[in-house]
Amino acid sequence: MEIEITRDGSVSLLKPSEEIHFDNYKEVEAILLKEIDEGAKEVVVDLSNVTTLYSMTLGMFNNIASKIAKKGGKFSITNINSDIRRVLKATRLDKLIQIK
Amino acid sequence: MNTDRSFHILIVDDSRTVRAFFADIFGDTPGFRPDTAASGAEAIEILKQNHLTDKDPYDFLLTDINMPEMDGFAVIDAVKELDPELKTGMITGFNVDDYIKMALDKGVFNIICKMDDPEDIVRTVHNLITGDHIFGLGNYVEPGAEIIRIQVTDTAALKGAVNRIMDAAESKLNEDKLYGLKTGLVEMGTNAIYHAYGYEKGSQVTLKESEEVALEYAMDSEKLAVAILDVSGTLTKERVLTQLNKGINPTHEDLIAAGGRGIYLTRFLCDKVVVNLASRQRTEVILIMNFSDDYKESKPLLINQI
Repeated sequence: MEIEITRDGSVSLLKPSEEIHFDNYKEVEAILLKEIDEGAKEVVVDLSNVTTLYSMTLGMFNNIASKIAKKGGKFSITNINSDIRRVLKATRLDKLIQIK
Repeated sequence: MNTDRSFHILIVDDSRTVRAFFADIFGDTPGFRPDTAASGAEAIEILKQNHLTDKDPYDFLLTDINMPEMDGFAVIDAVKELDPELKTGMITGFNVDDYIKMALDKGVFNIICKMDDPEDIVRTVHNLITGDHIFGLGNYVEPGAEIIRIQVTDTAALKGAVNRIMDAAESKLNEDKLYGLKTGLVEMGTNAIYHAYGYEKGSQVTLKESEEVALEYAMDSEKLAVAILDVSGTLTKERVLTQLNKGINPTHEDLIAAGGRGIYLTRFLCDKVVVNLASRQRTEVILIMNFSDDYKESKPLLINQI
């Protein structure tokens, strides 16, 4: 899994190159946690290359949002398709995970 | 459907039209002998006269949920006091999800939708009475439909199986339904590997010989049906209903939780989900996607445990 990382001050934008699946979401989680540990105050995940969000990824995003919030930071996702929007609404995670 | 004997059923609904409808569909099906009651009180009276006296006992009571004075849950409670052995089921014209919390509190695991295909309703009631024809994908597709089985031996094979079924479905389902199917296959497939056999989520897993997981799929003239199978039998009906309730009526703790959304998401995105459980033997989750583009907001609750 390749993840393109763009840093602008304390803002990190991460763009996975492929689908986040049950066998690679831990890799994504590790990279997001590293960004937070290294001082990112705002982490944005660009989901342009992701068509489907499974429950494991939703849970992982929840963890990341909670961890960065505890440090006073923000987590958000961007460039989501209508299916992902529907899933976030159905699980009510659109109230917890900011969508840009 | 086995028609060797006739099943005597009591249908309870406050609507005369609905009573007549169900009396017709069951009356027209060989193997059923329906009676009707307009209220819970009338049903109790009929049971006292016919059932408890063994004059003309019933095999099944099917009650509407939303009725004045005595709702379906109260009817089931009263019936269970009279005869704990009498099999019962609930049916509603409203959104089944509105009753999930109550179903969890009362231990109700099957709620049928009035809007379902009448043949499906009759089949479901038959299966609830007999306990037969529950396990096996062949029970959910038209006779003669070819069932293709894909054995899953590791996590990579699960991806392959999902892709193969998606390829088969591509020309039959619209984009929303394809998304729902893919999500359901992955959620229930990963459940079958990680949860059933206790592997760490997200790890690469090669199953042991005793840890069987398989996906089966079949198509008939109206639908694609998939069965996701494991032989751990660790899933329970209480757990399935609890997870559904957490998705439908989440507390703050449920919302911030890292897991537990798979079955809820699957039911939300697939046309119909049936969960069949044989404790410590077998778990079978059936996903059904209709080829028609209609989307039904209300979906039945179908959890069977033998």
